Amino acid sequence: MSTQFNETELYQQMRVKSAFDPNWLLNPAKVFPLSFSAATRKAA
Amino acid sequence: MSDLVAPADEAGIASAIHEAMSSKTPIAIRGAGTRSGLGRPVQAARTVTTEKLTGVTLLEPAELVVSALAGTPVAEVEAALGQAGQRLAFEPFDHRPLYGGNGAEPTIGGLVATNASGPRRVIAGAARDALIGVRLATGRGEVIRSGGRVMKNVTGYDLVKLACGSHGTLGVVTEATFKTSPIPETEGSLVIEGLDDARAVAALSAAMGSPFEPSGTAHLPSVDGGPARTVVRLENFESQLRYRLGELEKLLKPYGSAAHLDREPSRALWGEIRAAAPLLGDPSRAVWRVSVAPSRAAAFVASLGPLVAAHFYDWSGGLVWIAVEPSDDAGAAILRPAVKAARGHATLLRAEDVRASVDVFEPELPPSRGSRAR
Repeated sequence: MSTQFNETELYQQMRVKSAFDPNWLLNPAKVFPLSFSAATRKAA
Repeated sequence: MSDLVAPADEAGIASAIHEAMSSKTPIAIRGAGTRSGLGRPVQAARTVTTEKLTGVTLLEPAELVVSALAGTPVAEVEAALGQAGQRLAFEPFDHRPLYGGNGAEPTIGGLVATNASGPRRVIAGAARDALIGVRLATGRGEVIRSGGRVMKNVTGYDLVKLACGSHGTLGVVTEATFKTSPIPETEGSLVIEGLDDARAVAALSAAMGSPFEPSGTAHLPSVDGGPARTVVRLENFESQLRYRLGELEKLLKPYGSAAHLDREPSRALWGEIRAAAPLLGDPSRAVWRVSVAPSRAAAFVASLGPLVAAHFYDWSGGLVWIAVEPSDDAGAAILRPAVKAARGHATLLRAEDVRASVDVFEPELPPSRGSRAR
Protein backbone atom coordinates (compact mmCIF):
# COMPACT_ATOMS: atom_id res chain seq x y z
CA MET A 1 0.00 0.00 0.00
CA SER A 2 2.62 2.51 1.04
CA THR A 3 4.69 1.72 -2.06
CA GLN A 4 1.86 2.37 -4.45
CA PHE A 5 0.10 5.22 -2.67
CA ASN A 6 1.35 8.37 -1.05
CA GLU A 7 0.15 9.71 2.28
CA THR A 8 -2.56 11.93 0.78
CA GLU A 9 -4.01 9.00 -1.15
CA LEU A 10 -3.93 6.69 1.85
CA TYR A 11 -5.70 9.23 4.06
CA GLN A 12 -8.32 9.76 1.36
CA GLN A 13 -9.01 6.02 1.27
CA MET A 14 -9.16 5.85 5.06
CA ARG A 15 -11.78 8.61 5.03
CA VAL A 16 -13.82 6.46 2.69
CA LYS A 17 -13.64 3.62 5.20
CA SER A 18 -14.64 6.01 7.98
CA ALA A 19 -17.73 7.04 6.00
CA PHE A 20 -18.98 3.45 5.90
CA ASP A 21 -17.51 2.20 9.17
CA PRO A 22 -17.19 5.26 11.40
CA ASN A 23 -16.03 3.26 14.43
CA TRP A 24 -13.51 1.16 12.50
CA LEU A 25 -15.08 -2.07 13.78
CA LEU A 26 -14.80 -4.08 10.59
CA ASN A 27 -11.41 -5.71 9.96
CA PRO A 28 -9.62 -2.71 11.43
CA ALA A 29 -6.15 -4.17 10.82
CA LYS A 30 -6.69 -4.94 7.14
CA VAL A 31 -5.87 -3.04 3.97
CA PHE A 32 -4.20 -0.02 5.57
CA PRO A 33 -0.69 -0.21 7.03
CA LEU A 34 -1.13 -0.27 10.80
CA SER A 35 1.28 2.56 11.37
CA PHE A 36 -0.79 4.76 9.08
CA SER A 37 -4.19 3.85 10.43
CA ALA A 38 -3.19 3.87 14.12
CA ALA A 39 -4.25 7.45 14.77
CA THR A 40 -7.52 7.10 12.88
CA ARG A 41 -8.37 3.82 14.61
CA LYS A 42 -7.66 5.32 18.01
CA ALA A 43 -9.80 8.36 17.31
CA ALA A 44 -12.72 6.21 16.09
CA MET B 1 -23.46 34.33 -14.32
CA SER B 2 -20.86 33.24 -11.82
CA ASP B 3 -17.13 33.88 -12.09
CA LEU B 4 -15.37 31.48 -14.38
CA VAL B 5 -11.99 30.11 -13.35
CA ALA B 6 -10.11 28.17 -16.01
CA PRO B 7 -6.84 26.87 -14.57
CA ALA B 8 -4.21 25.81 -17.09
CA ASP B 9 -3.10 22.70 -15.20
CA GLU B 10 -3.97 20.22 -12.48
CA ALA B 11 -2.14 22.19 -9.79
CA GLY B 12 -4.24 25.19 -10.75
CA ILE B 13 -7.45 23.17 -10.32
CA ALA B 14 -6.30 21.92 -6.93
CA SER B 15 -5.37 25.39 -5.71
CA ALA B 16 -8.69 26.81 -6.99
CA ILE B 17 -10.49 24.19 -4.89
CA HIS B 18 -8.21 24.83 -1.94
CA GLU B 19 -8.96 28.53 -2.14
CA ALA B 20 -12.70 27.82 -2.37
CA MET B 21 -12.41 25.56 0.67
CA SER B 22 -10.72 28.26 2.75
CA SER B 23 -13.34 30.84 1.81
CA LYS B 24 -16.20 28.29 1.96
CA THR B 25 -17.30 29.25 -1.55
CA PRO B 26 -19.37 26.61 -3.33
CA ILE B 27 -18.04 26.00 -6.81
CA ALA B 28 -19.57 24.46 -9.88
CA ILE B 29 -17.32 22.00 -11.73
CA ARG B 30 -17.56 22.08 -15.49
CA GLY B 31 -15.87 20.63 -18.53
CA ALA B 32 -17.27 22.11 -21.71
CA GLY B 33 -20.76 22.44 -20.23
CA THR B 34 -22.49 20.26 -22.84
CA ARG B 35 -24.14 18.16 -20.10
CA SER B 36 -24.96 20.96 -17.68
CA GLY B 37 -28.70 20.32 -18.01
CA LEU B 38 -28.20 17.09 -16.05
CA GLY B 39 -29.05 16.98 -12.37
CA ARG B 40 -30.25 19.82 -10.19
CA PRO B 41 -29.01 23.29 -11.08
CA VAL B 42 -25.84 24.06 -9.10
CA GLN B 43 -26.00 27.16 -6.90
CA ALA B 44 -22.42 28.35 -6.91
CA ALA B 45 -20.60 31.63 -6.75
CA ARG B 46 -17.84 30.38 -8.99
CA THR B 47 -17.34 27.91 -11.80
CA VAL B 48 -14.10 25.98 -12.16
CA THR B 49 -13.65 24.48 -15.57
CA THR B 50 -11.23 21.84 -16.83
CA GLU B 51 -11.51 23.05 -20.41
CA LYS B 52 -7.87 24.18 -20.56
CA LEU B 53 -6.54 20.78 -19.52
CA THR B 54 -6.37 19.23 -22.94
CA GLY B 55 -4.41 16.58 -24.72
CA VAL B 56 -4.07 12.83 -25.08
CA THR B 57 -1.26 12.01 -22.65
CA LEU B 58 -0.81 8.32 -23.37
CA LEU B 59 -1.79 6.28 -26.41
CA GLU B 60 -0.49 2.75 -26.54
CA PRO B 61 -2.60 0.74 -28.98
CA ALA B 62 -0.51 -2.39 -28.36
CA GLU B 63 -1.45 -2.20 -24.68
CA LEU B 64 -5.08 -1.24 -25.40
CA VAL B 65 -4.89 1.85 -23.25
CA VAL B 66 -5.43 5.58 -23.65
CA SER B 67 -5.10 8.49 -21.21
CA ALA B 68 -6.28 12.04 -21.69
CA LEU B 69 -6.57 15.18 -19.60
CA ALA B 70 -10.08 16.05 -18.48
CA GLY B 71 -10.73 18.88 -20.91
CA THR B 72 -9.82 16.87 -24.00
CA PRO B 73 -12.78 16.61 -26.38
CA VAL B 74 -14.17 13.06 -26.54
CA ALA B 75 -14.05 13.39 -30.33
CA GLU B 76 -10.31 14.05 -30.22
CA VAL B 77 -9.69 10.91 -28.18
CA GLU B 78 -11.92 8.87 -30.47
CA ALA B 79 -10.12 10.23 -33.54
CA ALA B 80 -6.70 9.38 -32.07
CA LEU B 81 -7.95 5.89 -31.23
CA GLY B 82 -9.59 5.53 -34.64
CA GLN B 83 -6.25 6.01 -36.36
CA ALA B 84 -5.00 3.04 -34.40
CA GLY B 85 -8.12 1.03 -35.33
CA GLN B 86 -9.48 1.24 -31.79
CA ARG B 87 -12.33 2.85 -29.91
CA LEU B 88 -13.95 3.33 -26.54
CA ALA B 89 -16.12 0.22 -26.47
CA PHE B 90 -18.90 1.68 -24.31
CA GLU B 91 -19.92 4.02 -27.15
CA PRO B 92 -19.93 7.31 -25.17
CA PHE B 93 -23.37 8.86 -24.93
CA ASP B 94 -23.53 12.35 -26.41
CA HIS B 95 -25.81 14.64 -24.38
CA ARG B 96 -25.69 17.51 -26.88
CA PRO B 97 -28.85 16.71 -28.85
CA LEU B 98 -30.72 16.25 -25.55
CA TYR B 99 -29.73 19.62 -24.11
CA GLY B 100 -29.50 21.50 -27.39
CA GLY B 101 -25.73 21.88 -27.21
CA ASN B 102 -23.80 25.06 -26.52
CA GLY B 103 -21.41 24.89 -29.45
CA ALA B 104 -18.72 23.17 -27.38
CA GLU B 105 -17.39 19.62 -27.66
CA PRO B 106 -18.14 17.18 -24.83
CA THR B 107 -15.02 16.39 -22.80
CA ILE B 108 -13.47 13.30 -21.28
CA GLY B 109 -13.98 14.75 -17.80
CA GLY B 110 -17.71 15.15 -18.41
CA LEU B 111 -17.91 11.65 -19.80
CA VAL B 112 -16.33 10.24 -16.63
CA ALA B 113 -18.44 12.41 -14.32
CA THR B 114 -21.67 11.20 -15.92
CA ASN B 115 -20.62 7.62 -16.74
CA ALA B 116 -21.98 8.37 -20.23
CA SER B 117 -22.47 4.98 -21.88
CA GLY B 118 -24.33 4.13 -25.06
CA PRO B 119 -26.15 1.19 -26.67
CA ARG B 120 -23.08 -1.07 -26.69
CA ARG B 121 -23.15 -1.17 -22.91
CA VAL B 122 -25.13 -4.43 -23.13
CA ILE B 123 -22.03 -6.23 -24.36
CA ALA B 124 -19.06 -3.99 -23.61
CA GLY B 125 -19.97 -2.60 -20.19
CA ALA B 126 -20.33 1.02 -19.11
CA ALA B 127 -17.83 3.85 -19.17
CA ARG B 128 -17.11 2.90 -15.58
CA ASP B 129 -16.04 -0.58 -16.64
CA ALA B 130 -13.57 0.76 -19.20
CA LEU B 131 -12.19 3.41 -16.87
CA ILE B 132 -9.08 1.99 -15.23
CA GLY B 133 -7.37 5.03 -13.77
CA VAL B 134 -8.02 8.64 -12.75
CA ARG B 135 -6.28 11.60 -11.26
CA LEU B 136 -8.67 13.47 -9.06
CA ALA B 137 -8.51 16.83 -7.30
CA THR B 138 -10.52 16.21 -4.13
CA GLY B 139 -12.73 18.64 -2.25
CA ARG B 140 -9.78 19.23 0.09
CA GLY B 141 -7.75 20.59 -2.79
CA GLU B 142 -5.50 17.53 -2.79
CA VAL B 143 -4.60 15.55 -5.87
CA ILE B 144 -4.92 11.78 -5.62
CA ARG B 145 -4.42 8.95 -8.07
CA SER B 146 -6.53 5.84 -8.20
CA GLY B 147 -6.12 2.83 -10.45
CA GLY B 148 -3.49 2.96 -13.15
CA ARG B 149 -3.04 1.82 -16.69
CA VAL B 150 -3.62 -1.88 -16.29
CA MET B 151 -6.88 -3.75 -15.64
CA LYS B 152 -5.41 -5.76 -12.79
CA ASN B 153 -4.94 -3.32 -10.01
CA VAL B 154 -6.23 -4.62 -6.72
CA THR B 155 -4.43 -2.57 -4.11
CA GLY B 156 -6.48 -0.21 -1.98
CA TYR B 157 -9.97 1.09 -2.58
CA ASP B 158 -11.18 1.34 -6.16
CA LEU B 159 -11.93 5.06 -6.06
CA VAL B 160 -11.80 5.11 -9.88
CA LYS B 161 -15.19 3.45 -10.08
CA LEU B 162 -16.58 5.71 -7.38
CA ALA B 163 -15.46 8.85 -9.21
CA CYS B 164 -17.09 7.70 -12.43
CA GLY B 165 -20.70 8.85 -12.41
CA SER B 166 -20.25 11.06 -9.34
CA HIS B 167 -21.16 14.20 -11.31
CA GLY B 168 -18.22 16.13 -9.91
CA THR B 169 -19.48 15.82 -6.33
CA LEU B 170 -16.51 13.79 -5.06
CA GLY B 171 -13.72 15.62 -6.81
CA VAL B 172 -12.60 17.05 -10.10
CA VAL B 173 -11.32 14.47 -12.54
CA THR B 174 -8.17 15.90 -14.09
CA GLU B 175 -6.99 12.92 -16.11
CA ALA B 176 -8.58 9.61 -17.07
CA THR B 177 -7.22 6.34 -18.42
CA PHE B 178 -9.39 3.92 -20.38
CA LYS B 179 -9.12 0.41 -21.64
CA THR B 180 -9.72 0.49 -25.40
CA SER B 181 -10.87 -2.16 -27.83
CA PRO B 182 -10.34 -2.89 -31.53
CA ILE B 183 -12.94 -1.63 -34.00
CA PRO B 184 -14.62 -4.62 -35.69
CA GLU B 185 -14.26 -4.86 -39.46
CA THR B 186 -17.89 -4.10 -40.14
CA GLU B 187 -21.39 -4.04 -38.72
CA GLY B 188 -24.94 -4.77 -39.78
CA SER B 189 -28.39 -4.80 -38.22
CA LEU B 190 -31.60 -6.77 -38.43
CA VAL B 191 -34.87 -4.85 -38.29
CA ILE B 192 -38.23 -6.44 -37.56
CA GLU B 193 -41.20 -4.17 -38.09
CA GLY B 194 -44.56 -3.99 -36.38
CA LEU B 195 -43.93 -5.68 -33.02
CA ASP B 196 -45.67 -4.43 -29.89
CA ASP B 197 -43.45 -3.50 -26.93
CA ALA B 198 -43.70 -6.75 -24.99
CA ARG B 199 -43.12 -8.90 -28.04
CA ALA B 200 -40.20 -6.70 -29.10
CA VAL B 201 -38.49 -7.01 -25.73
CA ALA B 202 -38.94 -10.78 -25.94
CA ALA B 203 -37.34 -10.79 -29.40
CA LEU B 204 -34.44 -8.65 -28.20
CA SER B 205 -33.91 -10.86 -25.17
CA ALA B 206 -33.89 -13.92 -27.43
CA ALA B 207 -31.22 -12.24 -29.54
CA MET B 208 -29.16 -11.41 -26.46
CA GLY B 209 -29.48 -15.02 -25.29
CA SER B 210 -28.15 -16.33 -28.60
CA PRO B 211 -24.48 -17.09 -29.31
CA PHE B 212 -24.32 -14.40 -32.02
CA GLU B 213 -23.15 -11.55 -29.79
CA PRO B 214 -25.46 -8.61 -30.54
CA SER B 215 -23.79 -5.30 -29.68
CA GLY B 216 -27.00 -3.31 -29.71
CA THR B 217 -30.63 -4.26 -29.03
CA ALA B 218 -33.26 -1.53 -29.23
CA HIS B 219 -36.96 -1.15 -29.92
CA LEU B 220 -38.34 2.01 -31.47
CA PRO B 221 -42.14 2.08 -31.18
CA SER B 222 -44.32 3.47 -33.92
CA VAL B 223 -44.16 7.24 -34.39
CA ASP B 224 -46.67 9.16 -36.52
CA GLY B 225 -48.10 6.03 -38.09
CA GLY B 226 -44.71 4.66 -39.15
CA PRO B 227 -43.97 1.03 -38.27
CA ALA B 228 -42.43 0.10 -34.92
CA ARG B 229 -38.86 -1.09 -35.45
CA THR B 230 -37.04 -3.71 -33.41
CA VAL B 231 -33.32 -3.50 -34.14
CA VAL B 232 -30.43 -5.84 -33.38
CA ARG B 233 -26.87 -4.86 -34.27
CA LEU B 234 -23.99 -7.25 -34.86
CA GLU B 235 -20.35 -6.24 -35.32
CA ASN B 236 -17.67 -8.58 -36.58
CA PHE B 237 -15.50 -9.64 -39.52
CA GLU B 238 -17.36 -9.49 -42.84
CA SER B 239 -17.59 -13.28 -43.33
CA GLN B 240 -18.60 -13.89 -39.70
CA LEU B 241 -21.14 -11.13 -39.80
CA ARG B 242 -22.98 -12.52 -42.80
CA TYR B 243 -23.24 -15.93 -41.16
CA ARG B 244 -24.37 -14.54 -37.82
CA LEU B 245 -26.97 -12.23 -39.33
CA GLY B 246 -28.40 -15.20 -41.24
CA GLU B 247 -28.52 -17.42 -38.17
CA LEU B 248 -30.02 -14.70 -36.03
CA GLU B 249 -32.65 -14.04 -38.66
CA LYS B 250 -33.67 -17.70 -38.47
CA LEU B 251 -33.74 -17.57 -34.68
CA LEU B 252 -35.99 -14.50 -34.73
CA LYS B 253 -38.35 -15.94 -37.38
CA PRO B 254 -41.13 -16.52 -34.81
CA TYR B 255 -41.22 -12.77 -34.20
CA GLY B 256 -41.43 -11.78 -37.84
CA SER B 257 -39.28 -11.51 -40.91
CA ALA B 258 -36.23 -9.30 -40.56
CA ALA B 259 -34.82 -6.78 -43.00
CA HIS B 260 -31.04 -6.35 -43.18
CA LEU B 261 -29.34 -3.00 -42.70
CA ASP B 262 -25.86 -2.70 -44.19
CA ARG B 263 -22.98 -0.99 -42.49
CA GLU B 264 -23.80 2.63 -43.28
CA PRO B 265 -27.55 2.65 -42.59
CA SER B 266 -26.90 0.57 -39.49
CA ARG B 267 -24.33 3.07 -38.29
CA ALA B 268 -26.68 5.98 -38.95
CA LEU B 269 -29.55 4.34 -37.06
CA TRP B 270 -27.39 3.45 -34.04
CA GLY B 271 -25.97 6.96 -34.08
CA GLU B 272 -29.53 8.19 -33.52
CA ILE B 273 -30.20 5.67 -30.77
CA ARG B 274 -26.93 6.60 -29.09
CA ALA B 275 -28.09 10.21 -28.83
CA ALA B 276 -31.67 9.34 -27.81
CA ALA B 277 -32.75 11.04 -31.05
CA PRO B 278 -36.06 9.15 -31.35
CA LEU B 279 -37.34 11.25 -28.41
CA LEU B 280 -36.00 14.62 -29.37
CA GLY B 281 -38.74 15.82 -31.68
CA ASP B 282 -40.30 18.29 -29.27
CA PRO B 283 -37.68 20.19 -27.20
CA SER B 284 -40.24 21.32 -24.60
CA ARG B 285 -40.89 17.76 -23.44
CA ALA B 286 -39.27 16.43 -20.29
CA VAL B 287 -37.12 13.34 -20.74
CA TRP B 288 -36.76 10.45 -18.28
CA ARG B 289 -34.25 7.65 -18.40
CA VAL B 290 -35.42 4.55 -16.58
CA SER B 291 -33.49 1.37 -15.80
CA VAL B 292 -35.70 -1.64 -15.24
CA ALA B 293 -35.50 -5.40 -15.72
CA PRO B 294 -36.21 -6.05 -19.44
CA SER B 295 -38.95 -8.53 -18.51
CA ARG B 296 -40.83 -5.75 -16.67
CA ALA B 297 -40.14 -2.95 -19.14
CA ALA B 298 -43.20 -3.14 -21.39
CA ALA B 299 -45.63 -3.53 -18.47
CA PHE B 300 -43.94 -0.61 -16.75
CA VAL B 301 -44.46 1.68 -19.74
CA ALA B 302 -48.06 0.51 -20.09
CA SER B 303 -48.66 1.32 -16.40
CA LEU B 304 -47.78 4.96 -17.06
CA GLY B 305 -50.78 5.27 -19.39
CA PRO B 306 -51.25 8.57 -21.20
CA LEU B 307 -48.29 10.22 -19.41
CA VAL B 308 -45.94 8.82 -22.06
CA ALA B 309 -45.71 11.16 -25.05
CA ALA B 310 -42.93 9.18 -26.71
CA HIS B 311 -40.64 6.36 -25.66
CA PHE B 312 -38.16 3.77 -26.83
CA TYR B 313 -36.18 0.89 -25.40
CA ASP B 314 -32.44 0.28 -25.47
CA TRP B 315 -30.36 -2.47 -23.84
CA SER B 316 -33.03 -5.01 -24.85
CA GLY B 317 -35.56 -3.27 -22.63
CA GLY B 318 -33.22 -2.64 -19.69
CA LEU B 319 -33.18 1.06 -20.48
CA VAL B 320 -36.40 2.92 -21.23
CA TRP B 321 -36.32 6.46 -22.56
CA ILE B 322 -39.54 8.33 -21.90
CA ALA B 323 -40.61 11.79 -23.01
CA VAL B 324 -43.55 13.46 -21.24
CA GLU B 325 -45.37 16.71 -21.93
CA PRO B 326 -44.04 19.56 -19.77
CA SER B 327 -45.83 19.96 -16.41
CA ASP B 328 -45.15 21.15 -12.87
CA ASP B 329 -43.46 17.92 -11.84
CA ALA B 330 -42.54 16.43 -15.23
CA GLY B 331 -44.84 13.53 -14.39
CA ALA B 332 -42.87 12.50 -11.30
CA ALA B 333 -46.03 11.90 -9.24
CA ILE B 334 -47.08 9.12 -11.62
CA LEU B 335 -43.69 7.93 -12.74
CA ARG B 336 -41.86 7.53 -9.42
CA PRO B 337 -44.38 5.09 -7.87
CA ALA B 338 -44.52 3.14 -11.14
CA VAL B 339 -40.73 2.87 -11.19
CA LYS B 340 -40.79 1.67 -7.60
CA ALA B 341 -43.42 -0.95 -8.42
CA ALA B 342 -41.30 -2.15 -11.34
CA ARG B 343 -38.25 -2.15 -9.05
CA GLY B 344 -36.46 0.18 -11.42
CA HIS B 345 -34.44 3.34 -11.23
CA ALA B 346 -35.30 6.64 -12.90
CA THR B 347 -33.43 9.83 -13.68
CA LEU B 348 -35.10 12.97 -14.98
CA LEU B 349 -32.59 13.92 -17.64
CA ARG B 350 -34.25 16.95 -19.14
CA ALA B 351 -36.77 19.34 -17.59
CA GLU B 352 -35.18 22.75 -17.57
CA ASP B 353 -38.05 24.57 -15.87
CA VAL B 354 -38.76 22.17 -13.04
CA ARG B 355 -35.46 20.42 -12.34
CA ALA B 356 -34.82 22.67 -9.35
CA SER B 357 -38.00 21.50 -7.61
CA VAL B 358 -38.35 17.83 -8.62
CA ASP B 359 -36.17 14.95 -7.46
CA VAL B 360 -34.03 14.53 -10.55
CA PHE B 361 -32.23 11.45 -9.29
CA GLU B 362 -33.84 8.35 -7.81
CA PRO B 363 -34.66 9.13 -4.16
CA GLU B 364 -32.03 7.60 -1.90
CA LEU B 365 -32.73 4.67 0.35
CA PRO B 366 -32.38 5.34 4.10
CA PRO B 367 -28.99 3.58 4.54
CA SER B 368 -27.31 5.65 1.85
CA ARG B 369 -28.89 8.83 3.20
CA GLY B 370 -27.26 7.92 6.51
CA SER B 371 -23.77 7.56 5.15
CA ARG B 372 -24.17 10.79 3.20
CA ALA B 373 -25.07 12.63 6.38
CA ARG B 374 -21.77 11.54 7.91
